[in-house]
Amino acid sequence: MWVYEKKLQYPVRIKNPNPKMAKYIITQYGGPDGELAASLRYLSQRYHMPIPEAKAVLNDIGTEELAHFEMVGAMVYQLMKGACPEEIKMADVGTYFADHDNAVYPSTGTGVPFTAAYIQSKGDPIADLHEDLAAEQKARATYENLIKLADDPDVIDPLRFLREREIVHFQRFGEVLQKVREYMESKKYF
Amino acid sequence: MDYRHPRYCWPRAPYGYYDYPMKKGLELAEAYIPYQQYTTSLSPMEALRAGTMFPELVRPYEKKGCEGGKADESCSR
Repeated sequence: MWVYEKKLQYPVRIKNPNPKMAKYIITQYGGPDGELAASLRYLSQRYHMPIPEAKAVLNDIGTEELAHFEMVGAMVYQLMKGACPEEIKMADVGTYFADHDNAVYPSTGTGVPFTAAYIQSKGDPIADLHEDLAAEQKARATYENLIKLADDPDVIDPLRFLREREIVHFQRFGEVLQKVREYMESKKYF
Repeated sequence: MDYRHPRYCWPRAPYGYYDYPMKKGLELAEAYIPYQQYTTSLSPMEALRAGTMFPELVRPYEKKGCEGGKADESCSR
């Protein structure tokens, strides 16, 4: 079970609505390399990890990804809040607006709804950990693209934080990969 | 020239591969990330700013200007 803290992991305080930026960022909410996919991937894969350290890392990082999901949701919400239909039309977010108004819905920027097809839970710890390493790199690359697209410091600052977390997670998954490999190797000769 | 050296075998090893002794325990067809060694930690405020409390993992991203000489003020990569 989880204990909820009623605050964001890193503050999101966006003063100026920007529906176009919301459309770019929402892919990290419900897209292929987004935070929802990441948390469901790690929280599902943790069960079949062979050593407690690996279960714990997947559990912790999967939990943190939920906190990132919440941050990205807050960013999309604040960027859409207060934007009038005319601005939304100008920013070419009308197709999203027609379906969801100013609400936050897990999808890509082009409206593809979230799907578990973005993730795998293979039952092979080595294969799964390689997917997790790749997922962190893909998310890092996405955040860099989003930083390139953003010019508001209120938007860039949380994106920068989220990008750095991907690097830290990559390091942790790399360490777990080595531990799992050593464990599996040790089981061969007993 | 020692043509029995693995570099002259086919398929040829990547250049530089046999120039460095393999670290013990490293195998082909495996991915490795070195274990992090604890050195020092940032203060809680610095850590929140940086996104990590470990200074050796701080990898800030800087936006670069456009390549190709066509950059104007509105363009940054």
